[in-house]
Amino acid sequence: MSENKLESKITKIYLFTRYERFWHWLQVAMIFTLIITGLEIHDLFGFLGFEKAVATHNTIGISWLIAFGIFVFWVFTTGEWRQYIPTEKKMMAVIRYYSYGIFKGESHPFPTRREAKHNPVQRLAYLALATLLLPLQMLTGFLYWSYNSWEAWGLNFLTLKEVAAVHMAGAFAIASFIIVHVYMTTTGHTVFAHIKAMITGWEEVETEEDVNGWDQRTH
Amino acid sequence: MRKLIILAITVFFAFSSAGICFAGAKANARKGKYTYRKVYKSCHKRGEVESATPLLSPDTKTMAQWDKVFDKVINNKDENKPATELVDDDFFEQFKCKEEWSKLTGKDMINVHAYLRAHAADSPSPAKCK
Amino acid sequence: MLQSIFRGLSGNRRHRVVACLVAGVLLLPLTAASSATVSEKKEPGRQIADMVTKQRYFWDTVDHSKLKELQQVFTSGEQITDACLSCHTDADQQLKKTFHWTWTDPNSPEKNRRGKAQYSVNNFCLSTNAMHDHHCSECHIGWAGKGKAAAIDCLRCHGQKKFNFEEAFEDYEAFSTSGDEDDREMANEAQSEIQEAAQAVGRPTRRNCGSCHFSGGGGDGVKHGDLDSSMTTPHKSLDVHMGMDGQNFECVRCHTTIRHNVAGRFYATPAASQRESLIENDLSQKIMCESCHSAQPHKVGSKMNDHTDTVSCQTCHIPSVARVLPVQMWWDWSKAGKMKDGKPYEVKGPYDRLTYASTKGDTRWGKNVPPEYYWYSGSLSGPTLKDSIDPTQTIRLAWPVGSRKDKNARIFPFHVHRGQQPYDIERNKLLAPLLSGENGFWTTFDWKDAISRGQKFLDLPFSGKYGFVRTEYVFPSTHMVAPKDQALACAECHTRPKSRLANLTGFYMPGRDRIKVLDLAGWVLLFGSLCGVMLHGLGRFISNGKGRKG
Repeated sequence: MSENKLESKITKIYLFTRYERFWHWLQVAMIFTLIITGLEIHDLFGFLGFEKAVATHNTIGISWLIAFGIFVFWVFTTGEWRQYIPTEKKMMAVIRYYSYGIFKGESHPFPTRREAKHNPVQRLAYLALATLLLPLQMLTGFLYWSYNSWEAWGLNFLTLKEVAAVHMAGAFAIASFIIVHVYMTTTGHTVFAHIKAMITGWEEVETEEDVNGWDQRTH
Repeated sequence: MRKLIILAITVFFAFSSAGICFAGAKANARKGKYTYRKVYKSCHKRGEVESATPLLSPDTKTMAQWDKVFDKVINNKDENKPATELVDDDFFEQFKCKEEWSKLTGKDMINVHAYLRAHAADSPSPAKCK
Repeated sequence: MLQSIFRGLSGNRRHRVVACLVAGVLLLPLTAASSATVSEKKEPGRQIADMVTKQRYFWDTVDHSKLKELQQVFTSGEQITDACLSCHTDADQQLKKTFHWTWTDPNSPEKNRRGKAQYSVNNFCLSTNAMHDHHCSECHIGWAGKGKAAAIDCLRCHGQKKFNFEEAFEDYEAFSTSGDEDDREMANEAQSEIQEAAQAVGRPTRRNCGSCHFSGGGGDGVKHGDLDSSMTTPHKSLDVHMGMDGQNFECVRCHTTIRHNVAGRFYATPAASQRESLIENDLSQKIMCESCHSAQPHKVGSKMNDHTDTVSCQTCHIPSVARVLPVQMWWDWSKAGKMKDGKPYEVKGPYDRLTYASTKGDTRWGKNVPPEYYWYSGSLSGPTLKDSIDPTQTIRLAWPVGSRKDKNARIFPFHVHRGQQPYDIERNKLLAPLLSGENGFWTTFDWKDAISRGQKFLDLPFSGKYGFVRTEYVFPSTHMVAPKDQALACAECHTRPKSRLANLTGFYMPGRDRIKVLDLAGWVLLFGSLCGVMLHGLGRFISNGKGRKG
């Protein structure tokens, strides 16, 4: 009923480049595979069989490590890293929106723009994910994988139990992120709006509202 | 009269025990073993059987079963009776090598039986032929 | 680091190998192809029969049947041995120094010698009573089971004809002393058979070694689990090395023998002092898997190669023992001596094996028995008849030495034989009753008398009071290596709670181990997240029933 009114305010902006979208969905596939095979290695169920699960987990894990390196390169060479610089401005407003305003039908306090793809909460979450959680998971995964070389590398102070514990904890944290992340995609102006954006690259955003000029790029 | 009966009984016992002893002395299991093996050695040479090892080892039958197979041999009194008269065709079905068996005498057969019986499955020392 | 990355990327290399193989197969000579089709046509049984009867190939340059020394009249085993030694001059001196003759572990302490001829005790026939129990000496390689007093019976290991010399000597003696012509003919027959058997000599075969090692403990498959008469003519699926439809290895192929000293473990003395392959030292013994297969036997990049520093090859490649014939699992001597109508009796159970005998007590058997796994450095330890024991515990008569911290130790499969056996209640030491012979327990069924006699032979005291204690005895499983497609899958160990390695602790194993608190916390977090977003979504749905925004 109010959709007509809404649509008039919507404009389309090209938010995600082809590489970004590819990277996102590649990560989706890899993390999904890693979680499934990881849980099988943790003996929660039988699916591929332990040997294949390990081989798959290792191959995907190492591939992800390499692909992540390329992503880091991309982020820095394109200047996209700026999208992840945390800010406290409007942070409270965004938190208030998701915990209160959204139920009241308020508009998002921070509409997405090309220069600022992520809202302050997203920035913080993605930054923590990309600089802490994922690297930690990759590091522990790499250590886990290279267990037999620990002695040669002088890493004998480690035990597999410790490394496995951190890797497992990391996996739970990532899985928890995914649950919330996937849910959050439904909070666009339509349930599938955000997902569509990540597929096509075009995000439909409301343009009439002023963004208070935070994080405006100075040219 | 009484003396006569006693004499008769004595004579009967003397004969029968002598018979038993005689029979015991006659049955030579050791000889029987070689006779039995020889049958198959020459039979193998002639080409009827694939191996020189006897077809049936002593431990393939029980003592009672061997007695049954050699039924006529046990009851035979004539040492020189040809073996063919002491066994039937059923025997050769099992043992083959009729040509070699025919050359054996009643005495040989008693020995063979003694050997097979001495190492039957339920004997104190069951044996296999090598 | 680079190296390990290469390991991870070896998939390309694998592809290259596959490509080479395909090319190789295409270039295979026609002859090989045609011979393969011929052997395929034969039934497996026929194939094995052919192999049994086919001419054995020797490197030897001597045809023993042509030797004058072996064409003489033999009336005793000793004469045959003398004939052997007339050419093989040093063989007896060599052999008499070896464990096979002495039954004594030379590396054991002098005051408490180990070995069958010494103070060692097992939970089968317990002890040889310093070789005074003649039943045990039947397996000693002297003539006529006379133990070390007799001359060496060379033919026990080298005779290629299954032949009963004792019986033949007796026959010859009986026939040759008679004047009968028939008898003389038979004497000649017996003698020619003896000579034929004495001339048929060669390298020891599986049958030679197996004549003792397959029936250790007094019967077929009683002892080892990985050694029984099924290994005389094994199929490849039973033993991939010895299988007659495969490599057809003889025992000595791996048990490298130098001057009659056969490589192998005995008691605390490991089979090999160091791990090296033939690539590193071509004169090395072939006693270990590593000798031929190296320490990295799997495909490059295979995770299995990363296991070889902690897991022995046998662990995965011997999924179970006693795969064809049963092995004894339990022997309870305390039940021995029961009578039925005043007479000793026997009860037959599953697998056509005795489960009770008055002479021996209760026994239990198993087939396809999965091994137990322990850390093992190649050495076994346990108390002798001289060592004190704690009868409240299960006594480990032979137990693997090793721990995770020992660099030489690996996780290794063992067949474990358990039972109960007599010990001295007052002295707290195990006992060695005399078993066979007219004064042995098997005849008298009198424990006290049999024990005093047995202990006397060993010069050991006996308080007169005996009880029964639980014991266990391990046999490292190293034969009956299955073809690779039957090797253990990862999940046989990497699983819980039924991991084959569930008993080995002190290290973290993926799949087998978990940190319960962490897992619980993790699942609570995930469940919490899920509930959170669902509640949030529900809230949105209810509060904005009219529409999403505005």
